[in-house]
Amino acid sequence: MRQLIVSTILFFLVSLSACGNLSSEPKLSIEDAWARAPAMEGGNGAVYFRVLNEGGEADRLLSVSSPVATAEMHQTVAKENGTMSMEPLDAVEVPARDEIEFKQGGMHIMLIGVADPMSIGDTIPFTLRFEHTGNLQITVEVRQ
Amino acid sequence: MFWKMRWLFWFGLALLSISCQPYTFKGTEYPEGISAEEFTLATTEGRSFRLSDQRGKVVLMFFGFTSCPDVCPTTMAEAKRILEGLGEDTQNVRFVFITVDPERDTPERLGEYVSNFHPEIVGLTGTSEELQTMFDAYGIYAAKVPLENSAAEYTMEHSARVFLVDQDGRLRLSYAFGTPDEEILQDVQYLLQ
Repeated sequence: MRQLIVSTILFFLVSLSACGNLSSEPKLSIEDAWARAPAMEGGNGAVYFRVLNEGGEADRLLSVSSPVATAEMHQTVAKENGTMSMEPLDAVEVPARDEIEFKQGGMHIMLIGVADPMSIGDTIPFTLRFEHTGNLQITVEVRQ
Repeated sequence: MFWKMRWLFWFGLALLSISCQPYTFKGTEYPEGISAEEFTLATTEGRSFRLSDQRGKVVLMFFGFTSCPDVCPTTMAEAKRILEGLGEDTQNVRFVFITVDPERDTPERLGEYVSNFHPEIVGLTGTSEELQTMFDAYGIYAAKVPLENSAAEYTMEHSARVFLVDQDGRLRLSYAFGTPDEEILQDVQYLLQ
């Protein structure tokens, strides 16, 4: 009898935890965010990071902004014979229980015309606007 | 005693075979003997930079533009690590950054850009015709691509390989974008031996 009670409690506990994972909302976090400082005053920079979604529903990154410069989502695209190009991105999907990465040679945030000089180790504020989650405020460390 | 001697013999032979293995370049090799096309461009200080004047040095060449936010600074950060890794041998290497966007890259802007990465990196520019002649000689593709609804206005689609010309003026190797800087450094150090 006692064994049956313990088994029943365990069953419901496991079921409850499974329900938690099946949450129908995106659950986002931003990891490894860093910015490359522009090589000159008024130059362009880039920001890289990972977006993790532990929730059960996808979300979409719609736009990015920062007080330090105009920020746009772009993607570096490899073409034939080692030629590289760059294309603007309208929105980026973050699938459920998955992650996406903005990285060198791939998707990146382009900072256009950074007026104030950035030093290695500085942090800059950033806002990521998602379709379901809304705004996520992050700070990004400047590296070389 | 005999067994010990035999073990020593095989150990020695193994060491010998390892040390005698030819060096394998990490970059994509061109057939030996291809002479790198001569070119003359201007440095950011307005001096003339002629390839044949660099004989005795290893020349690494990259084609990019200063407004580029991703590919070019990623490669230039690698250039910095390569030059730092060379130590005193830096004087035997020239890393040149040749603009594909002379419209925006004034000599001043180009000079400020390259020196931010490493003082030994040489920024090169020229008239559109001079640059195009050089691009044609090396099979470099560079084209202006408008970016609609972007504050950047336009980007440059361009070849992103690093080219290596050896001390004898031969085009020896090239490296795809993203090649680890340690691999390029190893090749350069081997050529400088």
